Amino acid sequence: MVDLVLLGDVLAGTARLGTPIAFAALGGVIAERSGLYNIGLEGQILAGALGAAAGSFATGSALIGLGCGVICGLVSGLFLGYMSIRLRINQLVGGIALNLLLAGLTAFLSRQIFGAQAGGARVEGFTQVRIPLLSDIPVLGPSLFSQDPLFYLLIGIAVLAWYWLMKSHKGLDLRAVGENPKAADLAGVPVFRLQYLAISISGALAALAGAHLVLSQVYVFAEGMSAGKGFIALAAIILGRWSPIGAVCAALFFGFCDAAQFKLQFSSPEVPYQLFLILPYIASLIALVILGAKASAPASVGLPYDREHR
Amino acid sequence: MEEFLKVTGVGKTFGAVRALNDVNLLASKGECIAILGENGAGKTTLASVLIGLYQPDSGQIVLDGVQISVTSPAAAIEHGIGMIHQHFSLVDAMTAEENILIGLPREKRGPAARARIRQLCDDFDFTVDFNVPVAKMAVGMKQRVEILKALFRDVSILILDEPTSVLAPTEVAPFLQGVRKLVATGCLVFFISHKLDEIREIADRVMIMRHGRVEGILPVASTPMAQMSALMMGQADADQPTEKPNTKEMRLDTTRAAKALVVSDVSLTTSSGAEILKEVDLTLHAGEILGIAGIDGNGQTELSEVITGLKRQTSGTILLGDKEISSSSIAARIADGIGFVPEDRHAEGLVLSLSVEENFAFRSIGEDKFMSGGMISRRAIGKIAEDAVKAYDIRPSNPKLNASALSGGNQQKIVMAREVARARNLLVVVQPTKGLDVGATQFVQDQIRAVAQSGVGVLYISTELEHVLEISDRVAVMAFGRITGVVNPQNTTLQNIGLLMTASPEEVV
Repeated sequence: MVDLVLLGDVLAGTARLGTPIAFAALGGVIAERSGLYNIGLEGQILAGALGAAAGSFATGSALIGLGCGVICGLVSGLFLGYMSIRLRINQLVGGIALNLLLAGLTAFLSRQIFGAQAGGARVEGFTQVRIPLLSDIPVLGPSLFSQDPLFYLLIGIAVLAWYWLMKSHKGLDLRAVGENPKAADLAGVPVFRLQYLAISISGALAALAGAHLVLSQVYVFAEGMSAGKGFIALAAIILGRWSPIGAVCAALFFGFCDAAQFKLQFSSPEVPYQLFLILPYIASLIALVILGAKASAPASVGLPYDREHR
Repeated sequence: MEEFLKVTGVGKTFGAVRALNDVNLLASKGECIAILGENGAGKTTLASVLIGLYQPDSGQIVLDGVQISVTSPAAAIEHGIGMIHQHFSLVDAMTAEENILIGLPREKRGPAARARIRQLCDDFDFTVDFNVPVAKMAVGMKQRVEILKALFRDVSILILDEPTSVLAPTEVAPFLQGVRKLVATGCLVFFISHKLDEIREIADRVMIMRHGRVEGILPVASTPMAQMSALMMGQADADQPTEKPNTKEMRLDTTRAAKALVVSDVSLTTSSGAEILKEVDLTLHAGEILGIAGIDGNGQTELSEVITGLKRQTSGTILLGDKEISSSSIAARIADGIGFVPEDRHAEGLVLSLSVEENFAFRSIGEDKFMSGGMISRRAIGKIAEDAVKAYDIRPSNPKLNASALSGGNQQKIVMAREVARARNLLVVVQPTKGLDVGATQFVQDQIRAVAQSGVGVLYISTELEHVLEISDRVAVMAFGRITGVVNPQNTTLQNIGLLMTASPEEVV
C-alpha cells in the first residue's frame, strides 16, 4: 500500500508545516477579537525564533530557549499594543513597521549573538515524542502522534483559547471590546487592559511559531526564516472565521497543501516544480473565496477607541 | 430635601467649544429630573461627565456626602451611576443576556444571574427575546435590554438620553410606565428630552440648560411650558410670538402645478425575497410638500433610496418632471436637481472628519463654482460655506472646524443647507428633525417650507407624525411597503391615520 505510506508522510508534513502558521493564526485571532489588527505576526515569528535560538544556544536547554522566545513575543506584542492602543496609530501601518523593525533587528542581533557562526550555529531543540498506544495506530500514529512537543502544545492551547474566548467571562468581555468598545466600556469592561492582554498573548503565540521553526524544525536561526508564514496566518484567521479552532484548522489546511505539493514535486519530476509551488496559494485563494465570503470580522477591529471622541 | 447627588462648578471644554460652564446641581433619591435644552446646550456632555466618559476640567461631584471622582465608566458603575444612550451601546452580535453580563465581576455572572434577569423582566413588564442577537431586535426591545443592563447593575442614578426619540408612538407609554416604576423604587432618574409634554408627564423637576450653563432648576408642576421654552431659547427669544402663521393655508393650490415627481408601480424585493416596497404609486407636484408617514421600518427609507438612486427598484418607473430617471445613476439624478437629506446624517450625510466647508463642497467638487483653473478653489468653497454658516446660524461659526466638532442639530443644518442648494426640482428629506430641539426643528421646517415656496417638490419622510401633519400639503401613509392611503392633513383624524399606519398586509390587498 504505497498510497497509505504517502498519506502518512503528507499528514506528518501537514502537522510539521502547519504548526507555526497555526500558532501565529491563533495569536491573530485573539488580537482581532479584541479589536486590534496584528499585522506584525511575521516580525514576531522572527523575534520568537531569535529568542528561542539565543536562549537555547546560551543555556543548551530547548525549554529555556522556548521561554526566551515567548518573552520576546510578549515584549513585541506590548510594543505593538502601545502603538495601537495608547498612540492610536493606524494599525496596519504599525504592524508593517513592526515587521520591518523586527526583520532588521533580528538579523542584526543574530550576528551579535552567534558571531562568525551566524546562520550556522546549531542549537538544542525538541525531539519527537511518541505517545504510547496512539502512536501504534497505522498511518495516523506515526504521523500525528509521534510529533514534537510543540505540536501537542498547539492542540492544547487551541482548545484552551477556544474555551477562554467563547466560554469564559473574560472571553465574553474581550469579544465585546472587539465588537463595540464603547458599549463594553460603558458596561464596565476594562477595555484597554483587555486589549493589552490580548495583543501580548498574540505576540507570545506568534513567537511560539518562531520557536517551533528553530527548536523543532531546523535547529538554527536564519535571517528571514519566517518566510511569509505570518501573512499566511492572516489568511488563516479569515478562513477560520475568527474562531481559534477554525484558525488552527485553516492553518493545518495550508500546511497540508504545502506538504502535498512537496510530495507531488518528487513524484512528478517531469512537471516544472514551479507549478506545484503555486498549488498551496491557489488552494488558499479558492478556500477563501468559498468559505471566507460569508465570514464577518469583529465589528470594530482596526478602529482605535477614544473614550472622549465625539 | 435630603441631598443625594451634588454637582458643583463642573466645567468642560472641547478645543474652542465650552461645552459645560460652572454647572451646579442638587438632587435627591426617588426623583425624576428632566434636562431640557437646545442641541449643543451641554445636556449629553453633562451626562457623559457623570458616567466617566468625559473628564471634567473643573468642579466636583459629591454622592451621598462623599466626594467621588468618576474616572471611567467602570468607576461610575461602582458608584451606581448608569446611562442609556440615545443611540444605545449594545454589542449587536451578542444576545440580550450576553450584553447584560459583559463587564460584570465573575460572582455576578453565575447561573443565578439568568434567573434575576428574567425576574427584572417580570417586575417591569418587559418583553425581551433572549434567543436572538441584539442586531435582530426592534429599537424598543433594544432599549429594554439597555434598561435591564442598568437595572442589573443596581443603579441608583440612571440617565436617559432622549429615550423616546427612537420609539414608535405605541412604545412610549409602556416605556414611561417603566421609568415611573424605577423612580418609585428610589432611583434618581435624569431624563434628557426635547419633548415638553413628556417632561410634564414624567418629571418632578426640570433643569434647563443653555450654552453649557444651567439656566434654572424648576418644579415641573408649577412652571408654565412657556417659561420653560423661554429659558431654553434664551430670554431674547421669549418675546416672540409662539403662535406661527399657518403657512399651509396661505399656500397656493399646488395640485394643478406641474408634476415634480411621479413614482409608478415601484416594487423592491431583496435578494432573499423580502418585499420591501410593493407597487408604490406617488405623484408630487412642484411646490408641494408631500409627507410620508408610517411606523419606522415600513419601507419609507427604501423609498427615499430608490428615488435618489441609492437602491435600484425591482420594477416600476420614476419620472422627475417629464424625464424618466428609473435607471439613472446617482450623479445623474443630482445633476437633474435632486437634493437628499438622508436619515443617518453621521453615516450618509456628512464626512465627520472633513471640515464644515469641505462638507459643503464635496458633493459638488468639479462644478464650476468651486473650481479655478482646474484646481479646487479653497476661496470659493470658504465663501459659500461662510454664507451658509451665517444664513443657517451654524454654531460654532467657524467653517474650518471638523464636522465632528459640531452638535447634532448643527450637523443637520450643514446637510440641509447643502441639499437645499442643490434641490432645483426635488428635495427628499428623511427624518429631518430626528433628535433636534424645538428651535432647530422649527428652523429646519421653515427652510423646507421656503424651498417648497420656491417651486420645488418636497418629499417629507418622517415617523414624527405631528411634524408630518404640520408641514405637509398631503400625507401618504405607508405600511408594509405599500401606500395605504393619501390624506389631507386639514381634514383627517389621528385615528384615521393610525388605522392606515397599522393596516395589516391582508387589508391592504
